[in-house]
Amino acid sequence: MILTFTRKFKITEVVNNKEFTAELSRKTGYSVEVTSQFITSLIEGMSQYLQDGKSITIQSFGSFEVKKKAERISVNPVTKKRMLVPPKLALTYKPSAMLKEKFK
Amino acid sequence: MNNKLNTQDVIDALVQKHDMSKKDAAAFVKEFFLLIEQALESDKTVKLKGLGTFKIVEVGTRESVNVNTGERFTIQGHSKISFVADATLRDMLNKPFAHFETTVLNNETEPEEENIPPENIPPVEHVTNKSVQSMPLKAELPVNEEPLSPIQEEKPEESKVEEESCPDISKDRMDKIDDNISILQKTNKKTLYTFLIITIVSVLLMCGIALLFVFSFPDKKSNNSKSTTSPLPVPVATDKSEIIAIPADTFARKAAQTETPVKEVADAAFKTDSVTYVITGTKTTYKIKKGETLTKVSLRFYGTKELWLYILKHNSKKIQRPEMISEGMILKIPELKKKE
Repeated sequence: MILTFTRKFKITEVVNNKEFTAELSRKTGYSVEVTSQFITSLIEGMSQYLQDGKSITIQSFGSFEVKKKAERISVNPVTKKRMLVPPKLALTYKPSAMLKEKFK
Repeated sequence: MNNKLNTQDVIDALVQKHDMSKKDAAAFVKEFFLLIEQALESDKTVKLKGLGTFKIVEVGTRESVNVNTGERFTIQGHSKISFVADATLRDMLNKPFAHFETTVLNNETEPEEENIPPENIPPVEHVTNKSVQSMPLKAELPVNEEPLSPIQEEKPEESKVEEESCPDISKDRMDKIDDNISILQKTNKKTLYTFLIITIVSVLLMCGIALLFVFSFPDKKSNNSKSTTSPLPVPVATDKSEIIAIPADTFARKAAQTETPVKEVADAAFKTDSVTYVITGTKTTYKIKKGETLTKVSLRFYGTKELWLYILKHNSKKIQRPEMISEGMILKIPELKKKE
């Protein structure tokens, strides 16, 4: 339940989709369903670009990039077994300088 | 430069998906990211479906060293933003490498370097799901106003051309790994054997060389020249087994550690079979060259190496021991007369 104007979310330490959508809907004025759709489309659009190997930079927020990770050998410390982890493409996020400062 | 997109591109994508004005879309997108920031601030963790989880992570204080000055300094504890992609998105992006799995290793060495250059990520091998494609990443996308889905369909030619490279690479990769495992398991023993063999052979070779060295220096120079020094170039004479009767006192005095060569030689200028000689004076003087020994000098002046003792005796003042001749030394070569 939304407690106060300033305190936007529940005191759960995690903001999930529902809360986020609700708050965004409130802020933008669209209905919850519409904002939900918008959010989905937005994310879909970004995903599409990322799949094509493009990197996305959002002003004052940061950048998203797909990076290739080389294969490596990892050792399970418990069983001592050596595993070969295959190469993969992973999404990385780099916060913008402003954000980094803010949270320092 | 199509590979770098900005907020505007994201806004445009949104506009295309929904029938909204650019202004509204722009406002929405900005609000969206702003909210993530705020939510992160207040709640430390923001989880968005289809995208991923943003989290504030605390980093403790740690010591570090200034690379230039070498002095130590502390990095204060601080927080940083971490992001982990959503599972769906993660799989979607990893499609080119989707068929790989982590495998257990058995006694394998480090894997070979991945030879796929970072920029050129191969396209999808199976074209099972046409709507979600991973296109060749180097493909030049014309910036156009069309909606995103048709763009995918326009690029099939390029993807077909490069389609083969991915399955080849992936299959090669797996084959390579399998081969490596099996080869290395076999060659572990092989390499041990070959190493042993090489060591033994080289040791034998060295022994052989050493022996050769020993045999080619049958004179006083080599401390351990035994009586069996054989490689004297001159062939053995018909009447054999005669020993050089060198004056006994000379022999006892001079020829210290060495036993003189006993082999008998057909003479060139001097007979050495049961013949002794007397030094009747100095024939000439001779300057020792580098690496020369008394036997060589003897050979040069008498035609046989056997008579080096006479040279030694004649120069006893200069050389106390047979090996002590050096380059530049001037020795008196004695005149030898037979004493029958």
